[in-house]
Amino acid sequence: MSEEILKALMQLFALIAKQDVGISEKERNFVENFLKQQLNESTVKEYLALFDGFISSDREKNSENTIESGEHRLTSVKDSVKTLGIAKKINRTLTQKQKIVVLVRLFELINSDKNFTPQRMAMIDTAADVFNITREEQLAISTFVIQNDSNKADIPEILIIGCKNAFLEHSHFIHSPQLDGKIFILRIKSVDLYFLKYKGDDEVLLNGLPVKSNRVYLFANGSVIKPAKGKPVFYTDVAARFITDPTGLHITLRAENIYLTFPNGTVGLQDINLEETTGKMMAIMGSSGSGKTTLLNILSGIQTPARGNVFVNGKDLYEQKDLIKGIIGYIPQDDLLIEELTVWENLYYSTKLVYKNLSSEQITEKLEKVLISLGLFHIKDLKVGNPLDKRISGGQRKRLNIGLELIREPSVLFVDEPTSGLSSRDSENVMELLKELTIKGKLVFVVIHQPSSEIFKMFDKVLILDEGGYQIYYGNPVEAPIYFKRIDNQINSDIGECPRCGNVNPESIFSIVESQIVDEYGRSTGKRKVQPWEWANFFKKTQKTELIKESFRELPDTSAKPGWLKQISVFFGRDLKSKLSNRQYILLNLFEAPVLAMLLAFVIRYIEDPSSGSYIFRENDNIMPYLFMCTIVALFIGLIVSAEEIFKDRKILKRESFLNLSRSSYLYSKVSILFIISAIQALLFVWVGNSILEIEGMFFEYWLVFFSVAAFANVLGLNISSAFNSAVTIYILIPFLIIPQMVLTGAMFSFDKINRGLGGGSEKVPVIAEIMPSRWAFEALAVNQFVNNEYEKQFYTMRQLESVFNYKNVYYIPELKGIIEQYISNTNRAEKFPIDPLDIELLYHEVQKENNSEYVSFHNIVFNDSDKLNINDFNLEVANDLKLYLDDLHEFYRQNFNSINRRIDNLISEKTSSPEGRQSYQSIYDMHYNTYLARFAKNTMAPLPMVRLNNKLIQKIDPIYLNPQNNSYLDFRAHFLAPVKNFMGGQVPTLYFNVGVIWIFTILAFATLYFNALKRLVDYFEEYSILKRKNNKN
Amino acid sequence: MKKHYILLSLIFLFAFSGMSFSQCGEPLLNICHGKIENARFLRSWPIQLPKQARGETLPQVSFKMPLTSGNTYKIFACNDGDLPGKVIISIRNQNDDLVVTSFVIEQARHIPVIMFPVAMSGIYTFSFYFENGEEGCAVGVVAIAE
Amino acid sequence: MKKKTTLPLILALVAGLIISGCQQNKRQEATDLLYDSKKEGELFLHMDMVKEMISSVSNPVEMSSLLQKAGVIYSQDLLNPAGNIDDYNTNFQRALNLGVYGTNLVYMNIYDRTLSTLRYLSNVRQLAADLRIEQFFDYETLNRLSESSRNIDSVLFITNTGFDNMSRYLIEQDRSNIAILISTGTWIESLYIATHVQTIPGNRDYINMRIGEQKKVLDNLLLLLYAYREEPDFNWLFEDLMDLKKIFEDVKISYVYAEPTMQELNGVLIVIDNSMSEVIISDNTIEKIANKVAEIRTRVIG
Repeated sequence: MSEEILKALMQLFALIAKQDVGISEKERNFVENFLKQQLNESTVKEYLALFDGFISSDREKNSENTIESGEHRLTSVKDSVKTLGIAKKINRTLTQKQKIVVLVRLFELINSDKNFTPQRMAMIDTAADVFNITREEQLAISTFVIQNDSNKADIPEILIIGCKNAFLEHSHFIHSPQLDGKIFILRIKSVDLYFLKYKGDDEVLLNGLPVKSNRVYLFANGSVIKPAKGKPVFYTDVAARFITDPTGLHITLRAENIYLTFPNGTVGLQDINLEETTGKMMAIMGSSGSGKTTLLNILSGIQTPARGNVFVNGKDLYEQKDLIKGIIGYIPQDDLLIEELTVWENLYYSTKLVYKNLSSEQITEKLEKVLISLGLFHIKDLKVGNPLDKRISGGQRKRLNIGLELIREPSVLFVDEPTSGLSSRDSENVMELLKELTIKGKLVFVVIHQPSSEIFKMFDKVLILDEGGYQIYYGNPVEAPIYFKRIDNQINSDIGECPRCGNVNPESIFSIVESQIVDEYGRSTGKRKVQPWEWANFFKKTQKTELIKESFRELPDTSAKPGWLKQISVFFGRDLKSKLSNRQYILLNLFEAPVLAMLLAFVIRYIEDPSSGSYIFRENDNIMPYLFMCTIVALFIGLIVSAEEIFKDRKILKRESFLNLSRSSYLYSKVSILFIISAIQALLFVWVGNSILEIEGMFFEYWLVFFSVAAFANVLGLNISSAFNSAVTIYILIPFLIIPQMVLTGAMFSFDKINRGLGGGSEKVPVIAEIMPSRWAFEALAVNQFVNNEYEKQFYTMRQLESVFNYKNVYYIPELKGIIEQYISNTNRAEKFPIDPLDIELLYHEVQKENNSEYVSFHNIVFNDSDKLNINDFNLEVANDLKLYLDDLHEFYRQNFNSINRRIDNLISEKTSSPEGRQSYQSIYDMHYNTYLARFAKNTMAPLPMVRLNNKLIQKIDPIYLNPQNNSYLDFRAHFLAPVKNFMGGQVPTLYFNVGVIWIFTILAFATLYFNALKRLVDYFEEYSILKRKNNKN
Repeated sequence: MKKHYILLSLIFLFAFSGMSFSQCGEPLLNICHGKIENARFLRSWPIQLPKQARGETLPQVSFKMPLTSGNTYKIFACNDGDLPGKVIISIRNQNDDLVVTSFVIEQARHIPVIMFPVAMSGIYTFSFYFENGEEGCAVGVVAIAE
Repeated sequence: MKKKTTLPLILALVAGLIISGCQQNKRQEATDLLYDSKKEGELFLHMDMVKEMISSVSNPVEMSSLLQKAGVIYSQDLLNPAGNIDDYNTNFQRALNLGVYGTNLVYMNIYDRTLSTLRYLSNVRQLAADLRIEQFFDYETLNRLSESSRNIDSVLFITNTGFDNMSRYLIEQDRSNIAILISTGTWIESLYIATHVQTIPGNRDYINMRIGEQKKVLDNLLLLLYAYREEPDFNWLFEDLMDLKKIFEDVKISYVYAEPTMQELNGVLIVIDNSMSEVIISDNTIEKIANKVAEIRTRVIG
């Protein structure tokens, strides 16, 4: 209290004391005592003198004026004005809590000699009004200070601790059988302050100090009252009485016979029983490895026990999970904070995810309230940062973590080691925060390790587990040491805490529980004196079941969470904000793509002609590898950007699973953000890369493919990110995902030259490559670049025809003829020479194809005896017919080839007839056509232009001009670099078809992500390997 | 580019070439090529002829080729051992005068290599037929001796 | 509910996108391009005649061998620069220059200039591919080249067989014009090199006589080109070669035939040709030929 305030207070005391009857000795004593509580001996005298001075100066004035009673009223009016002035002054400097305290003191002052004159009361009223204290609270304070009879103090603001319950109607009551007299406790609800007054003859200790009868004490947070005999009364006991059911919510949690065995066979928990109700804070303690966290997980429903049940208001936690989930809050040991966001933002997005109907003002209000109660308001705009790069302290982090849950106001809160790693000061702060929650009617479970005495005493109950998951104690924390000492036959076994300092040493419990047998030299033998199961048996024998009235009330509907779309937008906003605030991340992601593109494109941009100084796109042999690299870079960038996403959010996700939030909306928001990043990266990469390499007019197509691949990689990355449990594993996995895609693009290794067992060298793209998005992407890029460039566009249709006719003319028909000629010459030599069954099958197959060819309507050359093309009916006559037919066909193709070849030639001649035309033709050619890519697309490096595969002839040259043939409506598979794909009866350009395929892959990957398929698979294998190991052991 | 590309499997894969070589031509050409030694390859012809039918004229093929005065030409042929025919070369100048033949009739002997230093530039005709009109397959090669 | 419906929805969307991208009209256009004999008349030259005429153009190996024997020094400057290939867009240009590059290739090879050989070989292959006669320079053939280069002069083998087969094939395929142009290109380039190389003075006459002998070959070529003289590009070529023919008219050639005699040595039959041919050609004519050929050739190689 500042000097000035104390002065003001003295003045106020003096003003009130001297009214009407003047100051009594008792009143002066009260002031003196009051000062003694606040100050040291010497300053007490100083202020007392000041007080006396105020009294006397006023009295002198008064004595002059009291001669005439008419002036009496005047002085009091004057005093009233003075009071008003002082009160206003106090108002400016003191908090509401402090003002309440002042008011209580004023009442106490006049109560000291019970001189309640109207004047005095009027002055107090004036002060109270200025202090903004309600009439009801004024009344409650005066009742509490003045009345010593429980009947008269029967108002709801008062709690009475006494030996018998005297039919109180309104006030609360705590039974303390051996207490002489009564303890009154007042609660001022508006500021959540408690005052204590004792009327009786026992020695009652408040926080270790004796309480004087009929004096008002502040009953602060965490205080404990110790009567001479009997149970101490804790702050929380008191607070809990007042705050029963503030929201009408009464919740009980009952755990029965919980057993748990770990997958490796060791026993985790043995027959755990507990029962708790709202307003309590319970500790779960035990040496490390005794199953504390496991128990917490079971009670909160994260884990399911092997046997046993947990009931919340009579509802089975595991069977009616959805009903209960919303009222349970879980605060794991790890941080749940998003490092890149500020304290405020962390809470803000949590709030948005929990409440759908709050306006932004309401949210602001709510957050401010929570932040103030967490003591974090002043740091609300600080970034959370990570534990290494400390921006806020460990205690603040922990409180913020708790705050995330508090916003949701769960009724039952599970907290795992809230104090680990915190300083003792921070620890106490955090625990006080939790304790306060119980006062607000929450049920709090805390796993705690080595609590300080202060903290230990805060708990209403403690459950102690011993090695092997035995429950060896469940009850009052202060009594715990007594219990163990008694069993251990130690001296002072009835003293739970240090009598002088009031400390309880929880460590003493464990030193008894785990004490070891010593040998004759006093060395520890490593054997426990008392085995865990023995402790458990002791406990079972002595256990007094404290009956709690189990509540069966309906649980509140927690479905206030926002809708699916709203959730997406909140998740999206949160993620976006956290990414945007990480400058390094943004810069890296923004620059990664263009820098890579620059590096790549710059390196491979070269001038073919050693004597020339100008770059020509057409001559750059690296365009095809560039397309390949585009695909791989897209995959890489897409994977890298997403590979850690879900993994990073894992803890937050675990928490959010309690909120019943939609996984799909989380995923959609994730995916949207990643897609946006990928789209931007694609834009930058393609822009830079294509500009440097002077790839003209294909920007959108390149972007589309790059983006599609990156998007697929995003979702793939999310899959692994959600399935694996360490960042290292994830990054080790990336090569496994990338390299097969590299190998099977068709760019590095020709599909004709890969393992036959995998479908290499066949008519169509090998199946194993069909499942590689990279192959679809590369093909899309290559085909598009070749077919749709400005140069090739002029001729593509004609060249396609030219290619078809050339193939038929040069390779296909001659081969068919060759087979027949062979047969004819063989037959001429030996009578009845049978045709090779494969040959005849081939002939049949190919003739059928020709009969159904699109040119038949044009040339009308049809082989009508194709039904005779089988091993039995085939003979020389048929062979000769077939040969004639093929001759006709050959002629048709030859003529058409020549014709179309001439047409193309004429077209080019026309275009290049004038010098300007020639120049423009040449420049289009140089800028848009790439020779090496063309060679690749036309497969001119193929060892064989045509291949015979059993009974089929397969065209290998000019794949880029060959439209695939599919028999079935849905069959879309084609040879590599096909210009179009057949699908559902139509032809789709390869670019769009392939992009569609990549998106289908993306959607499938999203589905596996949504159903967590990969994670399940990984878990399944893990479980399987554990089982196997166990079997091996046995 | 990989030089030694191993075909995946010759059992299923057949190589086809559109060249109008008859079947006996190409492998034989490769063998025959080895006999050029220190001359420069100019031209080769595949020769495949059926057995002379009764009453028919002797099957034979002719090719024209310019030879230049001052050059010495190395002319030879290789037979496919699977068939009975042994090829005989005869060369005529542009006036259709026989210059040389690879078969010495008196001794019924084949001459494996003819060296022809040309003194008169002009288009010469190379005719090929098989001894006794047998069926045969051969390759004729003309090279320039260095 | 929403979540469950979105997946099929997106799938349907993607499928829709794919189908909407269908293009049906491309085929229609394509069939319009099919050959119609009513509209297109074909030039007719008898196949055998073309074959015979073409075969009178001597193989560039012969010319190169002669030059080498005459002590002529190799000159890279005489060749058509390899980079020129990018300018050959029409069949006319491609065919002529296929002949030119083929000749260059042989010339380089005879002089063992193997460094640039592959470049010219790839040009030959490229032009052949552009003319859609790539089957004569396929992967296998090139493979054989790279494998067997130590034993035999495989570039010569490949070019010679390749060119022979190519022109036979072209003629059979009714693409005699291409075959004729290839031979013309070969001939012009050979003549160009022969007329422009530096020789030892004493050997000049011998080379000049060989140049003079080309009179007959030119006649043959003109006979073939005559059939195509109406076509746009052919017409200047024909006219230019006609001009050249006029210059060649000053060349006088006479033949004296005598029975050859034989001599057998270690199984090798050596023919002694007793015939004589005489070529009379003035230095002035040679110079005129050289200039005209250079002019034509410049036009050919673009």
